Amino acid sequence: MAHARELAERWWTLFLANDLEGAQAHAAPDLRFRGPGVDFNGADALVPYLRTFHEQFGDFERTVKSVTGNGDAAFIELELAATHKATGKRVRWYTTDYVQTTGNKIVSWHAFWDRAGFGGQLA
Amino acid sequence: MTTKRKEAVLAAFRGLDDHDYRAFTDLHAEACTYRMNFDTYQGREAMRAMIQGWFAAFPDLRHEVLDYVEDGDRAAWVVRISGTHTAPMQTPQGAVPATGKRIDFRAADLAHFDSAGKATSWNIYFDMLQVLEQLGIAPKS
Repeated sequence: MAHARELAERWWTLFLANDLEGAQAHAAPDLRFRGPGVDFNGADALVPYLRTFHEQFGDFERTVKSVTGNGDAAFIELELAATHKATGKRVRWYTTDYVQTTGNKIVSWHAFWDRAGFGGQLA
Repeated sequence: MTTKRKEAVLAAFRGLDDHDYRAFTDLHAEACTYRMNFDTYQGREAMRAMIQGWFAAFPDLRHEVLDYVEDGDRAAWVVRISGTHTAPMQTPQGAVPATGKRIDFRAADLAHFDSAGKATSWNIYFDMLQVLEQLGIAPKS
Protein backbone atom coordinates (compact mmCIF):
# COMPACT_ATOMS: atom_id res chain seq x y z
CA MET A 1 0.00 0.00 0.00
CA ALA A 2 1.42 3.36 -1.03
CA HIS A 3 1.50 6.20 1.44
CA ALA A 4 -0.25 9.48 0.70
CA ARG A 5 3.06 11.25 0.16
CA GLU A 6 4.11 8.69 -2.47
CA LEU A 7 0.81 8.84 -4.33
CA ALA A 8 0.92 12.62 -4.30
CA GLU A 9 4.44 12.56 -5.72
CA ARG A 10 3.36 10.20 -8.51
CA TRP A 11 0.34 12.40 -9.21
CA TRP A 12 2.49 15.52 -9.50
CA THR A 13 5.00 13.79 -11.77
CA LEU A 14 2.19 12.83 -14.13
CA PHE A 15 0.62 16.29 -13.98
CA LEU A 16 3.91 17.97 -14.86
CA ALA A 17 4.30 15.55 -17.77
CA ASN A 18 0.79 16.57 -18.90
CA ASP A 19 -0.35 12.97 -18.47
CA LEU A 20 -3.65 14.01 -16.92
CA GLU A 21 -5.39 10.68 -17.47
CA GLY A 22 -2.45 9.03 -15.72
CA ALA A 23 -2.89 11.41 -12.81
CA GLN A 24 -6.61 10.71 -12.71
CA ALA A 25 -5.91 6.97 -12.53
CA HIS A 26 -4.47 7.52 -9.05
CA ALA A 27 -7.76 9.01 -7.86
CA ALA A 28 -10.68 7.07 -6.42
CA PRO A 29 -13.88 7.41 -8.50
CA ASP A 30 -15.50 9.40 -5.70
CA LEU A 31 -12.52 11.72 -5.20
CA ARG A 32 -13.28 14.95 -3.33
CA PHE A 33 -11.26 17.78 -4.81
CA ARG A 34 -11.11 21.23 -3.26
CA GLY A 35 -9.08 24.27 -4.13
CA PRO A 36 -9.43 28.01 -4.54
CA GLY A 37 -12.72 28.56 -6.36
CA VAL A 38 -13.29 24.87 -7.02
CA ASP A 39 -14.98 22.06 -5.11
CA PHE A 40 -16.15 18.89 -6.80
CA ASN A 41 -16.73 15.22 -6.28
CA GLY A 42 -15.70 12.60 -8.81
CA ALA A 43 -12.44 11.78 -10.54
CA ASP A 44 -14.07 12.38 -13.93
CA ALA A 45 -14.03 16.12 -13.28
CA LEU A 46 -10.32 16.12 -12.57
CA VAL A 47 -8.93 16.06 -16.11
CA PRO A 48 -11.00 19.00 -17.42
CA TYR A 49 -9.99 21.04 -14.39
CA LEU A 50 -6.31 20.23 -14.66
CA ARG A 51 -6.30 20.76 -18.41
CA THR A 52 -7.04 24.45 -17.93
CA PHE A 53 -3.68 24.89 -16.22
CA HIS A 54 -1.79 23.30 -19.10
CA GLU A 55 -3.81 25.29 -21.60
CA GLN A 56 -2.91 28.57 -19.95
CA PHE A 57 0.54 27.87 -18.54
CA GLY A 58 3.70 26.07 -19.56
CA ASP A 59 7.23 25.41 -18.41
CA PHE A 60 6.12 24.35 -14.93
CA GLU A 61 8.72 24.21 -12.19
CA ARG A 62 8.08 22.59 -8.84
CA THR A 63 10.12 22.71 -5.66
CA VAL A 64 9.07 20.63 -2.65
CA LYS A 65 9.52 22.79 0.46
CA SER A 66 8.30 20.30 3.04
CA VAL A 67 6.34 17.11 3.48
CA THR A 68 4.41 16.24 6.62
CA GLY A 69 2.94 12.81 6.23
CA ASN A 70 1.61 10.02 8.33
CA GLY A 71 0.37 7.00 6.41
CA ASP A 72 -2.79 7.87 4.57
CA ALA A 73 -2.58 11.64 5.04
CA ALA A 74 0.08 14.11 3.95
CA PHE A 75 0.62 17.83 3.60
CA ILE A 76 2.97 18.74 0.75
CA GLU A 77 4.26 22.32 0.69
CA LEU A 78 5.38 23.45 -2.75
CA GLU A 79 6.84 26.43 -4.52
CA LEU A 80 5.65 26.54 -8.10
CA ALA A 81 6.53 28.57 -11.15
CA ALA A 82 5.04 28.62 -14.61
CA THR A 83 4.92 30.80 -17.70
CA HIS A 84 1.62 32.35 -18.70
CA LYS A 85 1.26 31.51 -22.38
CA ALA A 86 -0.86 34.56 -23.24
CA THR A 87 1.48 37.17 -21.75
CA GLY A 88 4.77 35.35 -21.43
CA LYS A 89 4.90 36.36 -17.77
CA ARG A 90 6.62 34.06 -15.32
CA VAL A 91 4.58 33.58 -12.15
CA ARG A 92 5.65 32.06 -8.84
CA TRP A 93 3.41 30.95 -6.04
CA TYR A 94 3.21 28.71 -3.01
CA THR A 95 0.72 25.96 -2.47
CA THR A 96 0.04 23.23 0.04
CA ASP A 97 -1.72 20.03 -0.98
CA TYR A 98 -3.47 18.09 1.74
CA VAL A 99 -3.85 14.58 0.35
CA GLN A 100 -5.75 11.69 1.88
CA THR A 101 -5.63 8.14 0.54
CA THR A 102 -7.31 4.80 1.03
CA GLY A 103 -5.34 1.81 -0.18
CA ASN A 104 -3.67 2.90 -3.40
CA LYS A 105 -6.12 5.63 -4.33
CA ILE A 106 -6.36 9.30 -3.54
CA VAL A 107 -9.77 9.95 -1.97
CA SER A 108 -9.35 13.62 -1.08
CA TRP A 109 -7.16 16.41 -2.41
CA HIS A 110 -7.35 19.89 -0.93
CA ALA A 111 -5.10 22.53 -2.49
CA PHE A 112 -4.41 25.74 -0.57
CA TRP A 113 -3.06 28.68 -2.56
CA ASP A 114 -3.74 32.35 -2.95
CA ARG A 115 -5.45 33.44 -6.16
CA ALA A 116 -5.04 37.11 -5.21
CA GLY A 117 -1.26 36.97 -5.10
CA PHE A 118 -1.17 34.67 -8.10
CA GLY A 119 -3.44 36.79 -10.26
CA GLY A 120 -1.68 39.97 -9.21
CA GLN A 121 1.43 38.79 -11.03
CA LEU A 122 -0.51 38.59 -14.27
CA ALA A 123 -2.04 42.07 -14.02
CA MET B 1 -5.01 10.62 19.25
CA THR B 2 -4.06 13.86 20.91
CA THR B 3 -0.31 14.22 21.31
CA LYS B 4 1.49 16.65 23.55
CA ARG B 5 2.35 18.75 20.51
CA LYS B 6 -1.20 18.77 19.21
CA GLU B 7 -2.47 19.82 22.63
CA ALA B 8 0.07 22.66 22.62
CA VAL B 9 -1.15 23.79 19.19
CA LEU B 10 -4.79 23.65 20.27
CA ALA B 11 -4.00 25.56 23.47
CA ALA B 12 -2.14 28.22 21.48
CA PHE B 13 -5.20 28.74 19.27
CA ARG B 14 -7.50 28.87 22.30
CA GLY B 15 -5.27 31.57 23.73
CA LEU B 16 -5.23 33.42 20.44
CA ASP B 17 -9.01 33.40 20.20
CA ASP B 18 -9.13 34.83 23.73
CA HIS B 19 -6.76 37.60 22.57
CA ASP B 20 -3.99 36.13 24.72
CA TYR B 21 -1.29 36.67 22.11
CA ARG B 22 1.46 35.58 24.44
CA ALA B 23 -0.14 32.13 24.72
CA PHE B 24 0.22 31.88 20.97
CA THR B 25 3.68 33.37 20.56
CA ASP B 26 5.03 31.34 23.47
CA LEU B 27 4.71 28.29 21.24
CA HIS B 28 7.17 29.92 18.85
CA ALA B 29 10.94 30.27 19.03
CA GLU B 30 12.17 33.85 19.28
CA ALA B 31 13.53 33.75 15.72
CA CYS B 32 10.62 31.84 14.25
CA THR B 33 9.95 32.47 10.59
CA TYR B 34 6.31 32.94 9.72
CA ARG B 35 5.06 32.81 6.14
CA MET B 36 1.56 33.83 5.09
CA ASN B 37 1.09 33.07 1.40
CA PHE B 38 3.60 35.39 -0.29
CA ASP B 39 4.69 37.34 2.79
CA THR B 40 7.37 36.39 5.31
CA TYR B 41 7.64 37.69 8.88
CA GLN B 42 10.92 37.23 10.73
CA GLY B 43 10.70 36.79 14.50
CA ARG B 44 7.73 36.21 16.72
CA GLU B 45 7.21 39.89 17.47
CA ALA B 46 6.73 40.63 13.77
CA MET B 47 4.35 37.69 13.63
CA ARG B 48 2.50 38.94 16.69
CA ALA B 49 2.03 42.40 15.15
CA MET B 50 0.64 40.87 11.97
CA ILE B 51 -1.78 38.63 13.89
CA GLN B 52 -2.92 41.49 16.09
CA GLY B 53 -3.73 43.39 12.90
CA TRP B 54 -6.12 40.63 11.91
CA PHE B 55 -7.75 40.61 15.35
CA ALA B 56 -8.10 44.40 15.23
CA ALA B 57 -10.18 44.05 12.07
CA PHE B 58 -11.94 40.82 13.16
CA PRO B 59 -12.17 40.93 17.00
CA ASP B 60 -14.24 37.72 17.15
CA LEU B 61 -11.81 35.74 14.99
CA ARG B 62 -11.94 32.01 15.71
CA HIS B 63 -9.63 29.13 14.78
CA GLU B 64 -10.83 25.55 14.61
CA VAL B 65 -8.27 22.84 13.89
CA LEU B 66 -9.95 20.26 11.65
CA ASP B 67 -7.32 17.79 10.45
CA TYR B 68 -3.96 17.31 12.09
CA VAL B 69 -0.90 15.30 11.00
CA GLU B 70 2.33 14.89 12.93
CA ASP B 71 5.56 13.64 11.39
CA GLY B 72 8.72 13.74 13.49
CA ASP B 73 9.62 17.35 14.17
CA ARG B 74 6.91 18.59 11.83
CA ALA B 75 3.18 19.05 12.21
CA ALA B 76 0.54 20.29 9.79
CA TRP B 77 -3.17 20.86 10.01
CA VAL B 78 -6.19 22.37 8.33
CA VAL B 79 -7.64 25.26 10.28
CA ARG B 80 -11.03 26.85 9.78
CA ILE B 81 -10.89 30.58 10.40
CA SER B 82 -14.00 32.69 10.87
CA GLY B 83 -14.84 36.14 12.12
CA THR B 84 -16.71 39.40 11.59
CA HIS B 85 -15.15 42.42 9.92
CA THR B 86 -15.95 45.23 12.36
CA ALA B 87 -12.90 47.50 12.04
CA PRO B 88 -10.56 48.61 9.23
CA MET B 89 -8.36 45.89 7.79
CA GLN B 90 -4.86 46.84 6.70
CA THR B 91 -3.81 45.47 3.33
CA PRO B 92 -0.86 46.20 1.02
CA GLN B 93 -3.33 48.23 -1.05
CA GLY B 94 -4.43 50.32 1.94
CA ALA B 95 -6.99 50.11 4.73
CA VAL B 96 -10.32 48.45 3.99
CA PRO B 97 -13.14 50.01 6.06
CA ALA B 98 -15.27 47.68 8.17
CA THR B 99 -17.87 45.85 6.09
CA GLY B 100 -19.73 44.05 8.89
CA LYS B 101 -19.44 40.88 6.84
CA ARG B 102 -18.39 37.44 7.97
CA ILE B 103 -15.39 35.57 6.70
CA ASP B 104 -15.18 31.80 6.92
CA PHE B 105 -12.37 29.98 5.16
CA ARG B 106 -9.90 27.15 5.53
CA ALA B 107 -6.13 27.35 5.61
CA ALA B 108 -3.26 24.90 5.75
CA ASP B 109 -0.73 25.42 8.53
CA LEU B 110 2.69 23.78 8.46
CA ALA B 111 5.11 24.01 11.36
CA HIS B 112 8.56 22.78 12.29
CA PHE B 113 9.43 22.39 15.95
CA ASP B 114 12.79 22.32 17.73
CA SER B 115 13.76 19.92 20.50
CA ALA B 116 12.29 22.30 23.09
CA GLY B 117 8.90 22.09 21.39
CA LYS B 118 9.06 25.63 20.00
CA ALA B 119 8.05 26.34 16.42
CA THR B 120 10.99 27.51 14.33
CA SER B 121 8.86 27.97 11.23
CA TRP B 122 5.14 28.32 10.78
CA ASN B 123 3.65 28.70 7.32
CA ILE B 124 0.03 29.32 6.49
CA TYR B 125 -1.53 29.11 3.04
CA PHE B 126 -5.03 30.11 2.05
CA ASP B 127 -6.94 31.85 -0.69
CA MET B 128 -6.94 35.57 0.10
CA LEU B 129 -9.19 36.15 -2.90
CA GLN B 130 -11.88 34.06 -1.19
CA VAL B 131 -11.60 36.31 1.88
CA LEU B 132 -11.89 39.43 -0.29
CA GLU B 133 -14.90 37.92 -2.04
CA GLN B 134 -16.60 37.22 1.28
CA LEU B 135 -15.99 40.83 2.32
CA GLY B 136 -17.50 42.03 -0.95
CA ILE B 137 -14.23 43.70 -1.92
CA ALA B 138 -13.56 41.40 -4.87
CA PRO B 139 -16.31 40.20 -7.21
CA LYS B 140 -17.29 36.55 -6.84
CA SER B 141 -15.48 34.49 -9.44
